Amino acid sequence: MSSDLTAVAFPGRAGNATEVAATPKVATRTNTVDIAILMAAAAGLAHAFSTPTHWRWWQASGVFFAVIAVAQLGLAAALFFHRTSTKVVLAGVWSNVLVVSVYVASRLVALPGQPGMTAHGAPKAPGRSFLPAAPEGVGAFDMFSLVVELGLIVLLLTLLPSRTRSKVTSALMYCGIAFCAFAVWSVMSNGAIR
Amino acid sequence: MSLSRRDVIKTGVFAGAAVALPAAKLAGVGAAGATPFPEALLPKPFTRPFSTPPVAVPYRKDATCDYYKMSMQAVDAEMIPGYKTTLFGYNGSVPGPTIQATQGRQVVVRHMNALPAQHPILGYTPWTSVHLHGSASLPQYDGYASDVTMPVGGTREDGSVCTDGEYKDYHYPNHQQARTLWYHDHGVHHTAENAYHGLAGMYTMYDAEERALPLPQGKYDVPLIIGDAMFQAPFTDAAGVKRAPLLFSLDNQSGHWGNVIWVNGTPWPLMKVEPRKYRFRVLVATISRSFKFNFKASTGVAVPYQVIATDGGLMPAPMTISSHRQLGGERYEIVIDFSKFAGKTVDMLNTSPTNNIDYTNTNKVMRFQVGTVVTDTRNNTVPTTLTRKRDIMNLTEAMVAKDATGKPIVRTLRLERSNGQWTVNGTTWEKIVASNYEFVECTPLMGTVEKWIIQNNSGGWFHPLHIHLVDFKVLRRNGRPPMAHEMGPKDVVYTGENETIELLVRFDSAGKYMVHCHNLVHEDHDMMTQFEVLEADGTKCFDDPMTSAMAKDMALEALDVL
Repeated sequence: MSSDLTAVAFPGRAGNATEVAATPKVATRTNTVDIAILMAAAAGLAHAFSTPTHWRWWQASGVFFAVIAVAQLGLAAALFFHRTSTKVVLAGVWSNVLVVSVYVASRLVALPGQPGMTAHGAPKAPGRSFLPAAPEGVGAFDMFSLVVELGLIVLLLTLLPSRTRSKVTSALMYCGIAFCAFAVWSVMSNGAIR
Repeated sequence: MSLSRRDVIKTGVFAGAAVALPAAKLAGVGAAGATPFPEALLPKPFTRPFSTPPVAVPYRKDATCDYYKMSMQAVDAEMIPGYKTTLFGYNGSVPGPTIQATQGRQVVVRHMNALPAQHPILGYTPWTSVHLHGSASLPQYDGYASDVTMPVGGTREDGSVCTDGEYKDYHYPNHQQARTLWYHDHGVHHTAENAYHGLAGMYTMYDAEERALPLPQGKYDVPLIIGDAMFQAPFTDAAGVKRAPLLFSLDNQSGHWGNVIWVNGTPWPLMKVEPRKYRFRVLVATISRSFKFNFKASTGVAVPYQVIATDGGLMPAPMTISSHRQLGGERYEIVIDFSKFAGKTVDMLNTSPTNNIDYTNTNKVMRFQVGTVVTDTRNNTVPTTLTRKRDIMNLTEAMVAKDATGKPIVRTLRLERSNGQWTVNGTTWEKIVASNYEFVECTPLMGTVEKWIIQNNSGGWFHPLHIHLVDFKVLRRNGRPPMAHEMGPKDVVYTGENETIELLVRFDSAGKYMVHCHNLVHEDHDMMTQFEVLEADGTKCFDDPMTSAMAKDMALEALDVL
């Protein structure tokens, strides 16, 4: 697949970062791409590891984790085999932004459809306590995955042409602002979509 | 190419929000604003006088046994000065009266459910089951969750109404070594609410070996029952009484956290002590909160202390530490030497472990005001060897029983959410009930030792895993030796986020017993299962937790000689 990889532009390389905007492709594997491969693989494996637990808790989240795991491992494979066109890199960026967004939302509010917990497996009834769906907890393992994904996004950003990158980073900034607004709303609404 | 400064800033907004917002939740930012009772009306930390629960007085005694009567009843207490709060107490006391027992002398407690038919605010029927936590009681006296005692007019789960109310006699053998036990409610599905409203008390057991040690005794041996609470907005009732009901919220699946830390029922108390050694029996009786305790003097120095006993009694040797983490159900006996702090104060503080919800003053527990005069210098020593009789601590992996194929018996308990419920190995109490209480997780043989592995694969919760009946030895924590304060016999183990704990467990008597999470909200929803210890010849124990000693109709109580 290397025949269609015409642009060589990576951070940290000697000399000016050469950019070929007209043919937005990225090319040979460099340290940056190697690290991105490792990060994508690590994030994918982390999600694969967590899939059974999430499946047992809430099947929808198990499916989501499995899809994420496959997508992140697929991204690692795509980067490994030099399929690093701008489209692939952009897909990698936005798929990880989606994952991060769902993560942030799940820590701030109960997600739609998220199960509550009944006592004794019985239906909700007067006098019988019931735990409504609630935001997820924050743990070291998911913080690790989050940091890996954010690092991966940054690395992927460096593989993009500057004009594209500028647009993407602007969009990311608006996402960050939206997270903050969402957080304020979640506090005011007591942290649950009901 | 590298990112431009502008790209870095823009990306930083995204990354910063993604990391900081969940982390802020982890740190509890914003939670303090959620308390409906005005913080300004709460007592200031370290201003309320310290007190200890009353010592229970036997109803009668005979040559081998002490008999007690306990009435579980609603009581108006004044946890917040000037405001009445309706609690549930044993004989009107919150925490309940301390029962003092001696090894070899039995105790029988008649627990009578005189609680209202419905909780006045929460609306549930407060049926009860009393568990003596730390006692190797027979199955029918162990406080089996479904073996409930009903209040007058209470509605059972099957919809029937209990017209007369019920009582039950609990028999405690007291054949184990000296230790700090506690009795608390264990009624199925409502343990959290009942215990939160006050149904908990201490039970200390002494033996000759422990009494012979020169450890602090008498007034220098002090119970510290620590809990947390949150209060609803205050109001004045029709009789003109200012009230602040307890707030019990189940909006958080992780559990329930209060903004007021209390010790023996008093918020952030101040205790006057002499400049000498004190022994404190620290029991965390919270619903969900865990603590990481440390002590700091008014001079600014950290105060080291010695752990001398764990859940199951004395450690082989004291361990000197500067902090320890402790969660619901755990007991540690610690000795603090105040002799260097005459005229100063020492604060008991809490650096909260992760995944608790913290408020303005949940980092404080209590204050010790150290005087300048020692009135009694006896029993003011911690020996370097405490006991050699805790044979549970001498267990090794080589002692683990082997199965039919010759492999050591190793059992794994996985603590997790499954299908929208808290589970142990995917099992909930529902499964036990549906099997008519026959389903068991495993069937160890009496007299054998097994290795149990407790797994918490979640990063979002910690679980205090409690195994009824037994004392166990913590062998490893995440493949490493246990923490210093855990090097004694235990019956609750802190199973932290993404932790795997290896235990050596010995089964010394037979019957069906529960194993469950001691985060009482998890327990109620429905993180309990059971195991059955078979007699050494493989036969089942005759005693049954549900049928061998059922609660009796209150109308018979006067005729039933205790």
